Amino acid sequence: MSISFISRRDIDFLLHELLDVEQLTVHPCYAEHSKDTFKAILDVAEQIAREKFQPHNAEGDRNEPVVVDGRVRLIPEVKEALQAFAEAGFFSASHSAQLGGIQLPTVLNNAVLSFFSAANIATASYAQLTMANSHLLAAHASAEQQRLYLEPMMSGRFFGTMAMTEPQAGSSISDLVTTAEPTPQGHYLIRGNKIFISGGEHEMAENIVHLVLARIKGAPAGVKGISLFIVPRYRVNQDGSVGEENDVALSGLIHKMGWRGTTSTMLNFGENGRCHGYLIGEPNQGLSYMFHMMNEARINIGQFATCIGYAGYLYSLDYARNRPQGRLPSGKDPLSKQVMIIEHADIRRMLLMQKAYVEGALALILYASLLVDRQKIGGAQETRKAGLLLDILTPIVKAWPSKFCFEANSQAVQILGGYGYTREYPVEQLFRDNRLSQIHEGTNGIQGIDLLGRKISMENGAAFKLLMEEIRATIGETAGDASLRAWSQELDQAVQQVQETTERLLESREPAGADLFLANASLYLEMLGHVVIAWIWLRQAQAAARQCETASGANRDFYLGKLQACSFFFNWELPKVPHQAKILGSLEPTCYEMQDSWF
Amino acid sequence: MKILVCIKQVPDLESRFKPNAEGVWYSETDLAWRMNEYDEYAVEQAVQLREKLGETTELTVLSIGPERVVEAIKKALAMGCDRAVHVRDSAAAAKDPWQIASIIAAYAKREGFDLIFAGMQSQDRGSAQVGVAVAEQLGYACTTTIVGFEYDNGAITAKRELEGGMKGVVRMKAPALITCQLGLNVPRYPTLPNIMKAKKKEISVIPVAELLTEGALANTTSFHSPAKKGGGVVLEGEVDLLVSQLLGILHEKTAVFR
Ligand SMILES: Cc1cc2nc3c(=O)[nH]c(=O)nc-3n(C[C@H](O)[C@H](O)[C@H](O)COP(=O)(O)OP(=O)(O)OC[C@H]3O[C@@H](n4cnc5c(N)ncnc54)[C@H](O)[C@@H]3O)c2cc1C
Repeated sequence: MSISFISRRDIDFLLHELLDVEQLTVHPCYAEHSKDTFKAILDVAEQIAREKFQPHNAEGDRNEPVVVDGRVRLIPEVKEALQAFAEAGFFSASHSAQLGGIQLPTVLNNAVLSFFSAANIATASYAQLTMANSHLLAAHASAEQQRLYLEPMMSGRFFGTMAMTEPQAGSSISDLVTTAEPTPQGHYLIRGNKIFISGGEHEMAENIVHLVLARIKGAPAGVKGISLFIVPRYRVNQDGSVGEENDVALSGLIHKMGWRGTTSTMLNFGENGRCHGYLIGEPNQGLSYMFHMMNEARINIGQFATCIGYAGYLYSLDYARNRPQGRLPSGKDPLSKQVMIIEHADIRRMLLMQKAYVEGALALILYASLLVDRQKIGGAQETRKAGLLLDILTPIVKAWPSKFCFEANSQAVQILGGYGYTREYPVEQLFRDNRLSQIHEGTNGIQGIDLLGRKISMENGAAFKLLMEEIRATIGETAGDASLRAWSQELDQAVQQVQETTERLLESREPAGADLFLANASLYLEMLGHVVIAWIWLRQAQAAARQCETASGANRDFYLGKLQACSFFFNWELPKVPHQAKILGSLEPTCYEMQDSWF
Repeated sequence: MKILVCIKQVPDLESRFKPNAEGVWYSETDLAWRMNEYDEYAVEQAVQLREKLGETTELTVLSIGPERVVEAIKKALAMGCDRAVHVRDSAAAAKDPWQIASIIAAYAKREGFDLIFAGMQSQDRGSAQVGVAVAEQLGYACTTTIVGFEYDNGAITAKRELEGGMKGVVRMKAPALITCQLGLNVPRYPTLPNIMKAKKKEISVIPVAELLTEGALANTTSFHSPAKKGGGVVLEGEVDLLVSQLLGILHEKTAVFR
């Protein structure tokens, strides 16, 4: 029996019982869809992920990409998997019908992608980068640019990347120095070096469309002088065919801890002064366009982290059910049969912890994805509401799963004991793969600063206030339910604490100065993240409790499992909030005041 | 030209099976369902032929069963079948292969198909009789367990898989029925655009009573897990004693020394 890497039952529960995604189909934009089409699409995703992505996950890890005769070589299974992905039509799924897509809602698209991420993150990355790139082009590129670059990405003929990072400009994008020089023909000449560019070179597509951030000569310093360019690996002729090389050179591959099947590249643009770039939209607006992609990408990173955590959870669960070892403290007879390790309470603690983290995170990811749809199709008020919630949740959606689902992977290793530490078992790879999540797409440190420094106070605190209202609404709904009342009260207390702490922090912003105010921002993200996840768990418990009374067999077990995981989160995790609030509210200065020379 | 492909929805084989309350079949609670694997080869072959022959050919998919089988039907439509027939029957699982075949044959007689594809067997019942019995009832030529297929203007060349890895080649003329085996092809994944198109394709529903005239020829009288074998014998003591004990058992109870 093969071990599944993500739970279809859980995904169906989240989509239908928690989020009621079928509601979307009443809107004209999604009217062509129905519960049946959603199901059929998820079926295909699950099947392709299982048959084409998962089988080479370990193989891809063992065989890092290498350069042979100047070309990057990958194991062939990667291309085959992505071809199946392309042929099924996943690259174009969420695009408009006008562009040739099927207008799949984002929440469904992200549920679909969860199968691929959980099955094989490295191979899935090529697809997800291309899709994020294509969504940016759909939103901001000209019709001509869309014809030449977007259409082939929608069919999987071209792949895409995002090329932002430079050696001296990682977290601090505003320090980038790649330049773009206008020419009389309309295109720009790009010059500069980029590093860590995922999917930057390979032979799996006819062309690679890099989205490059660069400065037009004479542009202002800082973020206000950054523009965004399409820079293809090969130039594209007017008829859409692939033409000559565009002076984009691979200067090296980077060898990584995990995620090894994805090429990580150092790229030199315009070494010979012949690298053409095509400006997207207006000059100096590059970062705002890129943020379009990054917000999506940040939900994706949260999704990646969650799915890698999920795969580890399910593997360790299966292992715990089948590994006999030791006896219960109450079983004294040394000749009695050993119990399966799942019988040990400590193993169940580690399984529950993983379950609470990964299922909580997945619910958050899909909820945030649904907000993207609501923002798109809602009336003015709903659009604004969804937009504000997304603004404040995005850093949490990226950072919380990447920290806690990585922790989940660590627990999975622990459950396998010595075997978990060997390369024979997949949890070792999953652990390495998931370490990246806290680093790329804006480190978790940067997410904390974004949350506390910008999002909390944006529009006079409107986003924060709205989030608190949404949480309070669930607290209100659950207060009268005997089985949920205690959790409802505990969440209410936590929300109050977060609100008071946030007010105190904001008041001290001026007197304390920006540096001290932001010094503990990572912890702030963790605290608010825990409250958000507790909220999401309470909503899951609400949905489960409704069903539990009438359900039987495996269904009933499923709902009881949800309630137990909610109980774990409220008893073991949420109580961290008062402690975090204490550190934050007092602007606890130990880290801030520590001196370099004292280390 | 008219082609029919017959499919069955079966439980995912990784499900946990339990006998039902009557103890004559499995219980349907907590099962996940999918298209019978062999029927996927049948659908794929039919769709390939349909694509080769073009618009003048119509490919119908048929399934018998309760409401849930519509899901398998939709998959076949998304793989490329043109239209579908759902013979609605909430008690299909209790029917024997002869009855199932007679339902299909009754429908097929009305339509006059030139070619009928079916799976070699179902993964749950495994009788491997339905396809053959349909052919018999219709008076069609029939070949089974095919792993290769060619069609040219009414002439069929099919490669069959025989015991011991041997292969046989069969030629016959339409109208004919063939049953498909693993290795015939690699079934395609439904594409997303085709899933959307499948929504608009016709699924006609026929109540089973309209087609069923035959009684069962065989009844399943019991469905159960194999009886647990008795625990093994543990021999204890000195080695030479153990050896003679073991030899005694082998002589007495096995054919090893005969
Ligand atoms: C496998 C992988 C794939 C990647 N893929 C891509 C890609 O496809 N495209 C792309 O453009 N980039 C990509 N990156 C780059 C990635 O986004 C950067 O590595 C990341 O943004 C961090 O930049 P850095 O590595 O320069 O670290 P630094 O910015 O040097 O950060 C080092 C540490 O300092 C902290 N720090 C930095 N600035 C601050 C601050 N102001 N306040 C507090 N703490 C701070 C950080 O949080 C971090 O802990 C990838 C990276 C990796 C490892």
